[in-house]
Order: sequence, then structure tokens, then C-alpha cells
Amino acid sequence: MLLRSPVQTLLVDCVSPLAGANFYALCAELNTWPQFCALADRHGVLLLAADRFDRLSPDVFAGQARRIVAREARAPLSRALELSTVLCSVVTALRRSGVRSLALKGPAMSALLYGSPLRRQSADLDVLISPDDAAVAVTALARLGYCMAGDSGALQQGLDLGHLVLMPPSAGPTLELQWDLGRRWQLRDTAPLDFETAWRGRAELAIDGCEVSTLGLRELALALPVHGARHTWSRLLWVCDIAALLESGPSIDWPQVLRVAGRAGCRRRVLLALLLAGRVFRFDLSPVLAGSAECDPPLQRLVAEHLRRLLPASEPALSSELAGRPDYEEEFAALRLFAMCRDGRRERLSTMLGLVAGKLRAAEAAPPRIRSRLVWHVRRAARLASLCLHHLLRRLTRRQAHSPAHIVLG
Amino acid sequence: MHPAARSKDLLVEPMLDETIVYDLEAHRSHCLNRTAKAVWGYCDGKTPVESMPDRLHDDLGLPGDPALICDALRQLSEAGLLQQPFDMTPAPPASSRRQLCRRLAVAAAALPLITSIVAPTPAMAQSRARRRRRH
Repeated sequence: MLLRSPVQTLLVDCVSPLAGANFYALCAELNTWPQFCALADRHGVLLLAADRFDRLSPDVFAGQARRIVAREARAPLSRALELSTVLCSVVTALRRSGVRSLALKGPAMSALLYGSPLRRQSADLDVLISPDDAAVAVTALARLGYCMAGDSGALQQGLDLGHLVLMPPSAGPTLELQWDLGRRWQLRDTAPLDFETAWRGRAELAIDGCEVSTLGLRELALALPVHGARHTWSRLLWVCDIAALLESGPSIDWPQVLRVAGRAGCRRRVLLALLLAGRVFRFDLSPVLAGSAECDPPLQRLVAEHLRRLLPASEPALSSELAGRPDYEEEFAALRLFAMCRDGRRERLSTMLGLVAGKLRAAEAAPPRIRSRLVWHVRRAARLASLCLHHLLRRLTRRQAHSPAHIVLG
Repeated sequence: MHPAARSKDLLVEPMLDETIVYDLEAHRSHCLNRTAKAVWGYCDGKTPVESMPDRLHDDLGLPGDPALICDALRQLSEAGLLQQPFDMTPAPPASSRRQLCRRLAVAAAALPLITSIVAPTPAMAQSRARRRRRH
């Protein structure tokens, strides 16, 4: 893999399970440590990088570089401490109410994959519960001060997809309750990631003295690739997770995972994740996995496209990100990549149409003064047409999932 | 005087010569540099303040000056990391960090320093998340 800059090379090397050959030389030569920290933070791997540097001798990693990395890692580390504390209080509150819960991402996954709850950077907390417990869980969390976020339309949409965002009582992390991952992540067969299956394969951890359950390695082997593809693998952290999963779970029966993924309609996403991790961190996949990847020729092109987006030749300036200017070409490329990761031509087309309809609906909602009547009508017609096709194809490809009607909004 | 460090409701995580302390009661984080962490470590409720300068000299090679210890204990007390507020009487003459550096001939980084950390609020985290593409 061709890395474009010393900063990117060092970043990949210092979070890689296999130390790069030039790691020490790059550490000594690099003189743009603030840029390195900003990039690491953007990719969510600043804590992983700081941990790697922390394990080096102070003679190897000293002076200004050490001070800068330590300074920049303070806020993420503080945030990780806060997240692990809040997770414990949430899990304890749910347990007291008789609600079984599985912590997703955040501190729990960090503890499982990296041996410490403080290595993965997360903005919020995600907890998977049984659909039958959703109402009880909301009541239990309301006692902790959590309340529902968003307007009723957004809430209803969330409920239909099996998730609910809860705002904290004070300046803490938001909490996302999930009870239908498969439906939210648009799997053809939601059974492999439904709560009962995940609960049976759960991993038990102790975080700050609190017992926390999380997804087991077999479920993670499905969930991580689907989640990464959902975000078009735009953060190095998600690729690191796959590498850590491969390292920490050599006992995972990957052929079996691929069979389950095939039924769930995410086989391409699983193979993409493995190939991407292999390319970024320069390791070879087992012959079985490599052979499976060869059976899907577009995968190599998809890996190359994701790599270009993950570590581009020139990193986008933070200022332009903050300005929030829409980049339609970039957006379309992301939508296309997102759709291309689906299994089956019909599903890819359906996904693409659904995404385009969503974008057109957002465009329709633009202030009237900047849209002409003709453009508005064309957009509206295009949206309706794509919506019709999208729904038609969805009905052909997916089974209906149940919607929890027992949560009352308000 | 035998100051005692608070240990209840605190999460402590060392990272690259610094130590992050998360206060579960106040929901605040503090960053202790090496000197502040060393002095905090001496606060076991048995070690007298008078013997701390020598220990600091032995451990970190810093000048065994009581002003350094007083500065660290004052900051630890303000951050709520001691069981009882620190109040030294008679107090040594107050000196600024610059004066301390000059008098003890040490770098500013060697002086005890406790920094409060502001973690991103949910709104900040959400705005960051929105910038990432979600489908």
C-alpha cells in the first residue's frame, strides 16, 4: 500500500499490530507532531497511538514530541474515563430493572479488543437490549435523568429502525439504545445480530469493577464490518478494530462467519473489512479467506477506493470541514461506495435509490429562495420515482421486521 | 502536618509522564504532571510535609525546596484530591512560577502542575459526529 506522507505512515505503524520497519526512524525524524495528533484524533486512534508511545522507552520517545502527544491525549483520555464510568452506571441501572444489556463499541469493545477500556475513542455510548425490554429500559434510564432527544418525527423514525437516542442529565455522553441492529444496518436476515443470538455469544468483562456484557468475537466479526462499511471506512480506528479482532480471535471460524454473512447479505462487507485491514497493516489473509475474496472480483477495486478515502494524498483541511460546505461529488462517491458494498445487484440498486431519494428530500427542504420552481419539480419527480423503485426492490429483497409499538413518545 | 490523598471515587490513569485523574463525584478530570503526581503519592496520611522535599529530591532529582511541595499541595487541595483542604501555617512566602523557576534553577515543566481538563460536551461530540458521514 502506498502511504502518502510520513505522518500517515507513522500513524499506521504506531497503531499496527505489527510494528513497521521504519517506526523508530520515523519517530525520530518527524517534526510535525501537532499535525500527527490532529490526524490521529480525526481517525479516533490518538489513544492507541499514545499508548504505543507510552510503552516506548523515554530515551526513544522524548522531548517536545512526548509533551505534545501527552497534551493532546489528555482530553480523549478524560473522555474515555467518563464514558467507562457512565457505561457502568447505565449497565447497573438496567440490571437492577431486570434488563439484559450488551454494551456496543466504546469502552467495552476497547476492553475486549485492546485490553483496556481506555484505548478506543468514542463520542457516545451504545447499548443493545432486547426489543421486549425497550420500554422498561427507557423508564430505568429516565430515573438516571436521561430523556429522549429530537422531535417526534425523528423519534418515530428511530423507533421504526430499532434505536433511540437519549440525552444525558448534564454534560455527559449521549446514550443510544438499540434493539434491532440487523434492521438498522439493513441486513437481509437479521437473525445473526438479534439480541438473543448476541446474548448467547456474549463476552463478559469487568470495567472499573462493574460486570459488563458485550458482543462476543463471532458477532463482532459480523458487526464490525457492517458498521465500518456503513461509514465507508472513513476512520482508521474501525480498520484497527478488524486487525485487533483478527489478532485476538484466531479461533474465529471465518468460513462459518462468511456463510452466516452470506445469508445476512453482508458477505462482501466482511471480506472487504478483512482485505482492507490486510492492506493497511500489511498482513496476508489465510488462504481460505483470500480464496473467498478472489471469488468476488470487484472487491479489490472497492478496497483500493476505500484506501484512497481513508488516507488521501492530501488530508482535507479542518477549516473546510467546519464550514460544512456540501461537496456533491464527494457525497455521491460515498453513496456509491456504500451501495457497492452490498451483496447482490438488486440490493445495491435498491440501496443507491434509497440514498438518492434521501438526498433529494434534503435538497427539497432547502430554503425556497435558492431553488427554482423547475428544479424543484424535477427533484421531486426524481425523488418519488427513486422512492417507488427503492420500496419495490426492498420488498423483493427483505423480510419485514417487527416494529416496537409499545414505546410511547413524549 | 500529614496530608492524605483522596482515593475514593477517583479513576487514575497514567499516560506519558502525566496522570489523568477522573473525579467521579465532581465529574471533572485533572491532569497531574510528574512532580504533582509524586507529591500526591507522598500524601499517605503518615508522611509529614517537612520530609517531602527530601523525598522529591531523591525520587525526581528536583531541589528539595519546601516551596515546591507547598505549591503542589495547594494545587492538589484546590483540585479536591486531598481528603482535607491543605492549609500550611505559617505559609512560606508566595512566589510565582517564574520566580520559583529562577530561584530553584529548574525548567517550568519540572514545577508541579495540575490542569483541569474539559472533555467535549455532548453537543460538541454530536457536531463532530455530524461532520462524519452517516447514511
